Amino acid sequence: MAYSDKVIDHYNEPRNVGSFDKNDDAVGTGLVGAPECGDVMKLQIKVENDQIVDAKFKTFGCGSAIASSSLATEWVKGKSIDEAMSIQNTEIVEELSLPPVKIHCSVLAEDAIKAAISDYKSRNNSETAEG
Amino acid sequence: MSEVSSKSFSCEGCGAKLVSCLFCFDCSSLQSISEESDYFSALGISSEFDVDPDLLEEKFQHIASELHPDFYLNSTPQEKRLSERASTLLNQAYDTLKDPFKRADYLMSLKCKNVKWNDRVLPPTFLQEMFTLQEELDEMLENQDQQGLLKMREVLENRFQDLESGLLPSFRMLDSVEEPETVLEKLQMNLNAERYLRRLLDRIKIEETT
Amino acid sequence: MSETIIGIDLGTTNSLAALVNEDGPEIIGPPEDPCMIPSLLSRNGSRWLVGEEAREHLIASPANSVYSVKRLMGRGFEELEEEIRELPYQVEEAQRKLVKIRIGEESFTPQELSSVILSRIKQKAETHLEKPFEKAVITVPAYFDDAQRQATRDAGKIAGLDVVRIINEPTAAAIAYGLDEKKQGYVAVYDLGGGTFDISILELKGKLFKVVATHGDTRLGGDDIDRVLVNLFQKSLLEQYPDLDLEDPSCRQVLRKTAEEVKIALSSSIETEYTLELPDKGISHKRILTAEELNLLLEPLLKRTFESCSKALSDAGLKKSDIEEVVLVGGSTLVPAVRKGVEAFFGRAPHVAIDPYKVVAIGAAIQGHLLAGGRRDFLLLDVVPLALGIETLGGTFSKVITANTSLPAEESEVFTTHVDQQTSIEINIYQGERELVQDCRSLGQFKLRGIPPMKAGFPLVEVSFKVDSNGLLTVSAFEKRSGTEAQIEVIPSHGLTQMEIDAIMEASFEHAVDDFNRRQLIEFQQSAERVFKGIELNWKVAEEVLSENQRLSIRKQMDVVKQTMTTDDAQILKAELDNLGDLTRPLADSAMGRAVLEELQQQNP
Repeated sequence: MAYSDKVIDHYNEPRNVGSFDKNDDAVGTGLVGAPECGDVMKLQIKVENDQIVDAKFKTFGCGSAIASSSLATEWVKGKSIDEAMSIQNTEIVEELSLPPVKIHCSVLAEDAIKAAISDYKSRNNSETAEG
Repeated sequence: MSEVSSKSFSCEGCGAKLVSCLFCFDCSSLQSISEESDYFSALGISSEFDVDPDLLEEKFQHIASELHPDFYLNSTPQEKRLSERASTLLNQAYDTLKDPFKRADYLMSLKCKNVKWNDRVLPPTFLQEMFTLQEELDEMLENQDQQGLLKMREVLENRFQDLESGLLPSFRMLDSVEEPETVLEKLQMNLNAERYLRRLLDRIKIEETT
Repeated sequence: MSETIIGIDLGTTNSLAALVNEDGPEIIGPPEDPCMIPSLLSRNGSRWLVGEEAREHLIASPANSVYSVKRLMGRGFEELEEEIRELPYQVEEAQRKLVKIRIGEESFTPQELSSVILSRIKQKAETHLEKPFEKAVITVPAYFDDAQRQATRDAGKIAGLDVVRIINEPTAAAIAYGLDEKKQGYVAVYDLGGGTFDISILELKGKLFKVVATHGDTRLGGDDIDRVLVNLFQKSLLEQYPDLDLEDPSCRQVLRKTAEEVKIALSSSIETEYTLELPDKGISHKRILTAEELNLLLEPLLKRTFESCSKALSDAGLKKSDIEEVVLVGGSTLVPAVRKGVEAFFGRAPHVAIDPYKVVAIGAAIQGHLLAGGRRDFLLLDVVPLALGIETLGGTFSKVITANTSLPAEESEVFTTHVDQQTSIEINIYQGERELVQDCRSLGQFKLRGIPPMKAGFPLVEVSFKVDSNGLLTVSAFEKRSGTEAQIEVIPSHGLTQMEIDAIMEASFEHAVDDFNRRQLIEFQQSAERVFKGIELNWKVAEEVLSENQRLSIRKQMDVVKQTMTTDDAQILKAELDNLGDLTRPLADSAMGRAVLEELQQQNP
């Protein structure tokens, strides 16, 4: 199979594996799963002034899911929250040349980004409301 | 009544009512495989979740003994091909229907062709729990914690059993309610959860055999 | 009367054929000359010595002699490195990482060499059955992968056989055993042959023989037991003769032969004395080995077989206590240590009633009988031994059909293009149980062509993997959006292409003419010897009933025949032999000589 070098690279050496303290207010955590195959993906962002300054992930799943989340963390870093919100799974598919059977992995990564951002927002909005 | 009632097939040759959509026992002829042929009609059992394992086994043996390519060595190329295809379908049907989880999954796919509902539904906090279990499993695998693994396997298998034993009442209910959506969602939730548990169990099993 | 489909057990060390006749299944041929030969070959000029007649050449001319060719079937040069080092004959790398065995100026694929053994089996069977046949069921180890199965089928094809079915050895044994004993329940077949190990677990239920799980090791068998002993001999020799060249082919053959003898001796006694005779080195090395010591040496090998057994049980979802019976198959199970080990592992004494050498061929013959329409009271359902799949993502193996799926089986997977207007896709097919393709067998590369040009990612090419009842894989492809059939070009990694098979068959046909002449030559030479013997026996009669001239002509013609016997033209020899027959007819016509000569003529019609 002519998989792109990028995907092989992300699979063999996933970037940004790890986690942040999820109780840190600057951190947003997204936890998503793919019931088709039982994959679980956790993606976290660290935000300063609406900019994502760092990202970490941990994925239990197949190579495509790992590569998709690894790529997602690279992409969101340095982006504003709004920019990150607009990342589409199709961009991940294209970048990694995922086969049709693995497209749900890219959907998972997109969902994880969105879930992390919404977690960050809800946490900070409620904080501001209280404060 | 079941939403998907058991279909009725008749022989392409003699017109007799078929037990299995794959073979006519009246005139001993292979039937062509159509879009309508599903796993239940291949095995000649009604399409519901409640399957008697003994009956399933008996039907499989009975039909396989007519379809198998071993009995078509000197037949026409067309019959040979048909026998290979029909046997393949019969094997798939048998493998799917004898496993309650696969059977439920397959039945859902038949029943939900035109129903829309949230197919990613999970019990609350389930995903967090799965993530934590995966992390714990990582640790056990790293430390070669055989006892921990054994215990985790037992716990997971019990939960799997619990979910599976909930399938039959739900499917029965499905046939009796007016609005099946909520029951379908509950069924889907159980099946989704089972898949996550299965994933964890697979990791433990792979470890055990290597 | 149904047609004849014989069963052939093409073994690492022995090959044999069986058939079902009125009395039931049995090895073809009379007990004193059964259709059973050692799987040995030796090249003598341009002809093959096969079986027993090749045995003495193993030591006399090791570089021209081949044994255990089954271990090379369908395998690549790289993966065989370790084994090649152990072999006294020369194995070289051929096209596409295939292997060839080099003998003098010629080289042969393992398929060709196996076909020579199969041809001899066929020929022997035809002689005994007094009719030609083509159809056969050939057995293979259950754990043979697709490439090894294809290679076996190709060997059959080259030998002029129509291989109507390939069945697994342990399954064949289970048929023979199960029908014999009318057994029901779970049966484990432990098959340790000359070069391979299989464990198959079958469920016998009604008329169904259903394989539920299978596992094994295609590089573990009696040869390895021999190898353990050879290593022991080498160590022992080196202690006494530190400068000895153990790599010398004839030395290796002596050690191997002694190993076999020691193994057999220790099957029936608790200790044995052996002598390593290396006359050209002036060495006669005498030692004693006990069965106890052998058991210790074999422990690591047996452990590997029990790991396979555990895996098969776990795949089947069974406990050891669920197994109703353990059946032993293969010559290596005659080794007491193996039996004891199996008994200890399964917690029950294994079943040994059927001859472990013959049971596989018998089972294959019964299956052949069923295929020929001779019976339909049982049905064999076998499984895919090792998962089949494709290479995905960074060299990971993605399974399309999992192990232990019932045959015939079919699954499909959807692929797409990565570049706009891309019209072909390459897919690497692998077989195995490991997570990375580098640990699995490469079966070949499939090139899908004829995909309609579309935007990248748009085509949906459905690739179907079909495994037929022989356990052989075929792949087809279909582009769903346009509805076009994609063409598939298969490049087998370890097998022969159809063109290569055709070329071999053509060449072997030319050889066949040659071989036929040689076989006839041998037959006529033997007849001549018998005729000479008869004439000498009756010379006294000849002196009474024939004139001196007649006797002189006979003597002269005998010389002519002797002359032609040393040439290699069978037809001339036949003509001269006929002339001699004419000259001796008056002798035959005399009352006293008739009985003797009649008998001779019957032998030489």
